[in-house]
Amino acid sequence: MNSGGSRQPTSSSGCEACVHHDYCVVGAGPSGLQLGYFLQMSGRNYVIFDRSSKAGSFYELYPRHRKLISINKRHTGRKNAEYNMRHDWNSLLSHDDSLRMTRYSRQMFPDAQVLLDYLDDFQRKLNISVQFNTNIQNLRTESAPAMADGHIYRMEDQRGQQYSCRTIILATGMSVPNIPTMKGIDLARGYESVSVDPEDFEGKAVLILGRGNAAFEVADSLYGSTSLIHLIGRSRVRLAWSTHYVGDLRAVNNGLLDTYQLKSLDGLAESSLEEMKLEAKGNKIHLVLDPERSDTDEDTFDNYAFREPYDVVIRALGFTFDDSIFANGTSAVSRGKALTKKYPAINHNYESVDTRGLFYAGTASHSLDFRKSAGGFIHGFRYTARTLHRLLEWRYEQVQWPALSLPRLDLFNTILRRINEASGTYQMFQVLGDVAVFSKDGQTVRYLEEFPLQLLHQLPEHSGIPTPGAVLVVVMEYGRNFSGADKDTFREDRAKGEPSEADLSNFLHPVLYFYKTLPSGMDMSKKSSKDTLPQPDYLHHFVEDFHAFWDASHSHILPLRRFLENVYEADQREFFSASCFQIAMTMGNSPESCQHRYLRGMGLVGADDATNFPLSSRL
Amino acid sequence: MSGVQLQCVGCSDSHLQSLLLLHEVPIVQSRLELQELELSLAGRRDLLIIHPQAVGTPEHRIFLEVAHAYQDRISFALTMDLRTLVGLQDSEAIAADSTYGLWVMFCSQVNKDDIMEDGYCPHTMYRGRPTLYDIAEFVKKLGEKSVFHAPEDGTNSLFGLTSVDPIVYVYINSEEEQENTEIVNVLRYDLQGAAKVIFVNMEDAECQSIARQQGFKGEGPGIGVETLDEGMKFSDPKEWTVSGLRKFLLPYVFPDWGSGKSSTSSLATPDSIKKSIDSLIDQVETQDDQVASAVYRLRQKEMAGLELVPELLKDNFYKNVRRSALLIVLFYEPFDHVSMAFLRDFGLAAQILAKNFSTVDILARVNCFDATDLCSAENVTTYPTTRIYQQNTRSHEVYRGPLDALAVTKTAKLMQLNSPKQLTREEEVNKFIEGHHPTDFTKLTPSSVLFLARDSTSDLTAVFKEVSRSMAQVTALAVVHSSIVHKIEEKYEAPVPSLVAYNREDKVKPVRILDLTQGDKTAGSMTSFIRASTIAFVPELDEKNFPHLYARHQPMTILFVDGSDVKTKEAALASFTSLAMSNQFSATVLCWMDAQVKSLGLQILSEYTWTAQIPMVSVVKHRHGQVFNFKPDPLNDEQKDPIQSDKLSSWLLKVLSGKAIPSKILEQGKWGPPGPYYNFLEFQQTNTFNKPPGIHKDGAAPMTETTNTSFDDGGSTASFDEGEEEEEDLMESEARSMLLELHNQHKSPQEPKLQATAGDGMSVTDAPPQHGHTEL
Repeated sequence: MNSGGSRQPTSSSGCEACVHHDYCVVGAGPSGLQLGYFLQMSGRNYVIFDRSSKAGSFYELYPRHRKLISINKRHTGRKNAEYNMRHDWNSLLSHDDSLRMTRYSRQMFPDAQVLLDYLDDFQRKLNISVQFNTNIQNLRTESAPAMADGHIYRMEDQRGQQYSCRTIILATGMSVPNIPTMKGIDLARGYESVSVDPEDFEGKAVLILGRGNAAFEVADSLYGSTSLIHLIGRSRVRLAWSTHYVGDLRAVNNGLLDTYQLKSLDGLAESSLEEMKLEAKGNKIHLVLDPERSDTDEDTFDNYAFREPYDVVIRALGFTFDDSIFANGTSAVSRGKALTKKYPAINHNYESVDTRGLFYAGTASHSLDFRKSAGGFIHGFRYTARTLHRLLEWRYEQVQWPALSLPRLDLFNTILRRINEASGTYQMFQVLGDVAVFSKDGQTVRYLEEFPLQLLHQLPEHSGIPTPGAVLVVVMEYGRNFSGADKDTFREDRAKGEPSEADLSNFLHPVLYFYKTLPSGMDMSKKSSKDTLPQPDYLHHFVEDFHAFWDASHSHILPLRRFLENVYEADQREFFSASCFQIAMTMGNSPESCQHRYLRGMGLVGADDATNFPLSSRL
Repeated sequence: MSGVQLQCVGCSDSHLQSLLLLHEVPIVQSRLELQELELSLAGRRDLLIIHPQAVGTPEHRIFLEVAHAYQDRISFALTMDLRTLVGLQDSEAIAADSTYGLWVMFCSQVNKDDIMEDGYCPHTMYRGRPTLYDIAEFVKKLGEKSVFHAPEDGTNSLFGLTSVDPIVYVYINSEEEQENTEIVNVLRYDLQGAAKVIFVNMEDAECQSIARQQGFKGEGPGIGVETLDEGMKFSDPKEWTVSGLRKFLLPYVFPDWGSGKSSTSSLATPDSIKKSIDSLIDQVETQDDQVASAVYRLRQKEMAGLELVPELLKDNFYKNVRRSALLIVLFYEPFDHVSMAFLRDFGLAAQILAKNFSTVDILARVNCFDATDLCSAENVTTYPTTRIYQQNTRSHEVYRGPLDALAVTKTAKLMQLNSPKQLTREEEVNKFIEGHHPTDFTKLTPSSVLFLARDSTSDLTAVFKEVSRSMAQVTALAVVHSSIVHKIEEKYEAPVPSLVAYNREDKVKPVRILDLTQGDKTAGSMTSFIRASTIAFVPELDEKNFPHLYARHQPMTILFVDGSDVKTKEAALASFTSLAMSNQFSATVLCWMDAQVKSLGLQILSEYTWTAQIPMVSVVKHRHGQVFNFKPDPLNDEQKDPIQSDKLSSWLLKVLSGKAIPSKILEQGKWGPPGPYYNFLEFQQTNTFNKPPGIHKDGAAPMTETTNTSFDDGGSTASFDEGEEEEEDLMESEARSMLLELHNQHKSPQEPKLQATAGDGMSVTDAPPQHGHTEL
């Protein structure tokens, strides 16, 4: 294992004073540590820089009221460690069973300090190489034709120490408060600094700019003390239970919805802040329309929602990416489009759209699945960090994506196991999926876990695994029209029970896409944004399940066999030895399972009461 | 949906009754069994045989009800295996789109010789509607006179005949009638029970005149058919062929045939879309996997003995493996039906070990869903996987035996012998050969294998020890100490080095020797020899030894004997064994099977030949799908040599040298998908499942999180059109009353007299064995 840096000769780094690492991760938060863990385990030359003195320093301040909103479900009724990660949203991935947040707190929503302790333990116990108190600055590229990407990254810390890195991974999160350009915004107290003592708001009228979890977190902590709280946001509130996006408003924080809907003074309104301004009059703050930006004259209305002034205005509008790390003039960071403009623009391999060799991990990579999946949160990006690591392993180390080699007869059980236990594809639904790559003759498969679905058409290039034959992709999906802020997700017909109607399932359920050949880039580009993947040659849906567990013999397992049999055009049934014997004696060939087991001397004899099954006339 | 189940469609009051009737109708399992039955009925009774799609289908139930009523007049049988019906009229059409197939075998009208010549009784396929009323009426009419001759049976009365059934006039002279046997038989048998047939002798002037009045313009031969709906119709004289006449008559005599009404499914679900959806759901969700079905059926039944098989997880697995002298661990996946079936056996094995051998703590299990991390770390990717861990060994061995309680038990005990044992005294060797050293292992394996070498450090010794690591699960192995090798080599006349195997159960050739002084000295040859030592020299072929015999990559020469005829069987086996001992046939596996009635051997033999004289010898080249049947000399004195060894010997040499033509090419199974799947791509394009939300296929709402309605997992509640439903119900009800009345009449005091008729009520199960040779 080599995680230490080295003074590289000029020929390699072009900088004798530089400390060189192959991989430089910036940020020792959960995503940086997670990536560090994988780099450590694969013995790479890496370092994690962090400007603070401890891991996960973001959580020293946030969330301001200290209650995490990621669930810490300690009991699932199952022993399967992988399955249990489906319901443990705070732990990072590692081989050390003691490093589970569920062992650190009994609270469903633990205190942020627990996470800090946990991250500290994670870093120390796993000996992850973090260089604390190192504020990386002036990140830039320098030409180095001999390097994999044609350049090398150079940077300095606050002490002037120079570093060179072949590959940069920014895991710096989203740390810069989002401050709108409205006039008078400086009258508002920022979420990052607002008092968390309810006493300070006793009897006060409070306006909160924002309608996300931070805004509601503040409101929840104050609404027992204030005279009223108004929240204002650009668009209607999006409830996580309706959108199935955990970045939307979680039930744990939404107490103010109660007092709003029950007309108990608190309120929620939609308006564009850009068209408004804050004005101080005496010790009160007024929210008024900005005549320079708005066509509406508020004097027209005498029932203007914000006609009463406020004692306190709080800004809780989220965070944006901090690009101050880059050298002046580098402009390395293109931003995402539309809703994702607060994130750096990246490709589906987590690499910057601007610069080769610059990758993003963690929340900073959330532009890929913003408002879709969980890539902006620990329970999502712990998997995308692993995915990124696997992509890096092939690209820079020529280590193929780990893949299980199986006879295709075993694929059936592998799929059943994965759809019931896999946490990565469950949390990162419709983003990561398992891919079974068939050999040319279709008889064996290589099974890749958690591959980025949007890179499917480039699977060989990104994994090192050739695709000589068909591919089968296993993903988890919500119903296409089920999730949405304006959807009634409690409607009477919200769930299906019939396997024959599985494609109409609404809740998260496994879907299988079979392609006779790997989809092309054109296929990927032609699919609609609502489609997870291009239209396959064969498609299978497991019917959604109340337990989200697909083990029913007739409703789940049998339809899967039927599907695979029709895809393979081969009988995949199992037979007792007596039947295999009879078949072998009377026919010119035997079904796959008889060849696989019985003819190799490992036939299933069956207890007396098990074999009471007539040899079907279909034999 | 539940698994394989009795379907209750239609009348619930008949369901219980039909179950009670189930045992009255014998099940025929092979083509040869059907012939046995036909021969037993020759000249006496006709036979109705049905192939229902499944037990409990409406057609099956109706058949049983009819059988119950008419069993005193006609014999009834059913078969679940389509191969039994190969050769019967239109049997090949059954698998594709029919829910059943029903044939009448007119065995009462032929003798045994006729059956032997044709292979079966004259017969016809039932082409009417599969309702209780229609089938009962059909069977009833089978007993009525339906073929008439004019003028012999009265010209005027015949031409004035009125009938709800079609009347078929065959205009033909007597000479033509004799010349056209095949066509006449079609008219005689195909139409029985469905039409009246009148042969009109065109040489008779009166008949000819009336035929002209009917509108028949030709000279004959020709056909006219008169129906209530259509009046009189005549066939084109050019169609005076079997197929032509069938084509002409079918629409008049069996108007429903091919229209879809000949299937109960179409009657039950007039809504074709619903029918199609329900049918698809049934096809997809009806279990047809033996193992899955068995596991599902037994899911509520506790797995005995599992309390003796501790469940290991990652935190205790390695500790258990380290501290156990021997630990056999089953890694299983709870979703995998084979795993779950074997787990049940594993528990039984633990019970046997505890009860019979006082051996505990030797078996353990790992649920690879619970312990996914452990199974991943141990690289277990195939389920079930069974590994054998022994203390002080570098790695585990994989159990490669049958997934069976007894096999696991034997392996566990054999592993405790710690083969290969080092034998230093001659007495130890003798006891080892007898199966009594180091402990009694006679019940675990029939063989003992000795390794003889003068140099215990030779490469060969190392190879044998390596082979022993895996073969210790199969039999008992030992190394003879060099100091006594000379005595053992002398005793068994074995070269040194060599392997000497002794099979205690084989009276033919108990001692086998693998000469290692020359030739193949590889681990592979040793493994094959050791494996072979556990099998008799001329074994009875069965499901247990087949894989090992198959692995020899040699044709199998199989002697089929009738186990119920002990004398002939023994004589045949003696001759066959002599052949095996002649050392001429080392290129084939010589084995035998019992082919007495109801045996698997007979089923297999009936796949090789339609006519067989037992004992019979067949050679099967499995990998080429070829079967060669030995044809003995019919004039042979079979008492002395029932297999005609000399002729067999030369024939066998010809077959083995590839100079013989196969008697049969075994069917290449396509082994394609056994059923359809939910093609969601197609559904999305065609909106196939555009049903009201939450509606179960049977009209009930499924119990999901959106409803509290109870789940109806029962049978079909197929909806009828109301008017049609009432009419069908009425007819079924009347037919059932009629049949019950008929049955009760048979239970009258006259009944014993009727049943006293020789052979009446005889079924396949109770048919007397046809000893000696079964001429088919």
